[in-house]
Amino acid sequence: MTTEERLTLYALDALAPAEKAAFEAELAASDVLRARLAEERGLLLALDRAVEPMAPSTGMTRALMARVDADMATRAPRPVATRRGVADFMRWLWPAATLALAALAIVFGMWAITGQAETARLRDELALLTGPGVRAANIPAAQKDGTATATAFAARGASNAVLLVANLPPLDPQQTYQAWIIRDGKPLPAGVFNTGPDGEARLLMRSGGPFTGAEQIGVTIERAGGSDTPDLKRLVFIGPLT
Amino acid sequence: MDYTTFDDETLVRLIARRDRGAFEALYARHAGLVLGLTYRILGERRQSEDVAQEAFWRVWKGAEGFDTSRGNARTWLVSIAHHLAIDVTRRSQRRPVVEMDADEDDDAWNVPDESADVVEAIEARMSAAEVRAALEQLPEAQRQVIELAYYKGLTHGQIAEHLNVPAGTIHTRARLAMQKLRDALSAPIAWQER
Repeated sequence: MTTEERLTLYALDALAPAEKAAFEAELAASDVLRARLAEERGLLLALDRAVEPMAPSTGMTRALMARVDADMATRAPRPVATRRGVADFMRWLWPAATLALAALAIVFGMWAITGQAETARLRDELALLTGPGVRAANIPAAQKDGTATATAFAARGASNAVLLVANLPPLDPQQTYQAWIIRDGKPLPAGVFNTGPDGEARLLMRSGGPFTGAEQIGVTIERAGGSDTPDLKRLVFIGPLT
Repeated sequence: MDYTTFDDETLVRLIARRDRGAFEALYARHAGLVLGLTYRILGERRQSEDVAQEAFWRVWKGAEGFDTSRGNARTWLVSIAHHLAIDVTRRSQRRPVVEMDADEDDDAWNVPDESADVVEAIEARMSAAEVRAALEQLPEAQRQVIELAYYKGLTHGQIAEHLNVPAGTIHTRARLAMQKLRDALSAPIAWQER
């Protein structure tokens, strides 16, 4: 294989690991090779930037912004690593303090209103949504004609997942939505919820064991209080977690 | 604040300060492109949306690691999306992938200045449709190698096996394909004078 061929295959990321490591040693020693590589990568990036655009779904946008909101609730704004004057610092400090107070208000407010268990649940949700390796999976609706969306967030190996639903009509008090984690073909109850007037709800699902990535998530409508087995005639969402 | 008047690099600078409005503006501007790219690689809507969403999440988490003085946030975002989508493809092929966490490896996604310059020079001269046409106009055997390597994540050995041709043939086709792409996309770019 010639150097030019290796260069092209490296730019395409088509070398085997050992070949890649060997070529990286050559690259480190050659300004000319590095410049040629940057040019070839530029051509490939131009191809990437020229793809046909595709409109994202509402569910994708909503799920992403929910993660961002959760992240913002847990952390104050980050200062930019530049030299700041006092006025600039104060401009940063005020929103930082406001956000920090808001986050504290959420935590202590939940504590005061609903107790320690609810606060722990909220903390678990925030930790999961902002933790490393978390993946979002859009769970398809069982009926294709509606606008309801469901997104499950989970990290492989973790035991909890968060389910966000939107555009789902509230149920009367005799009924409830129930989430299921389907593992090895067996549905395990994962919690009940109802939506608010805005059609939205969030549920922390505790699986009782680490997620492997092979699970499915389902949501059914059940009698108030939940069931031991899902009513498949009233399936609302069903789909893989990854 | 009217974020639509800001360029991408300013938006990323604001995102580094956790400005949600800036993030929404960057998303509104590029979500279609990013999803189009992940769909180009993965070919399945739901999975493509998951990966596109993850790419934007990495931008939110890693904006501090982006060197705005080196320019071109859009190329950075596209590079993240491409790598994430290829990782997903390789997992399904069982080709080893390196797990990357946004907090730990912000710099891994940065694109060299020279690559960004090449992209900008091409975009200044050609429409997206013309760039796509340059790939489509490659001889089938050469285009196939680019597709399998760059958009399906296969190694040259896997491509040779897949197409049932000698490895040397794949090396030659890849090289010729890139030369023709360079001719088609970037005749006026400075490297030809070096």
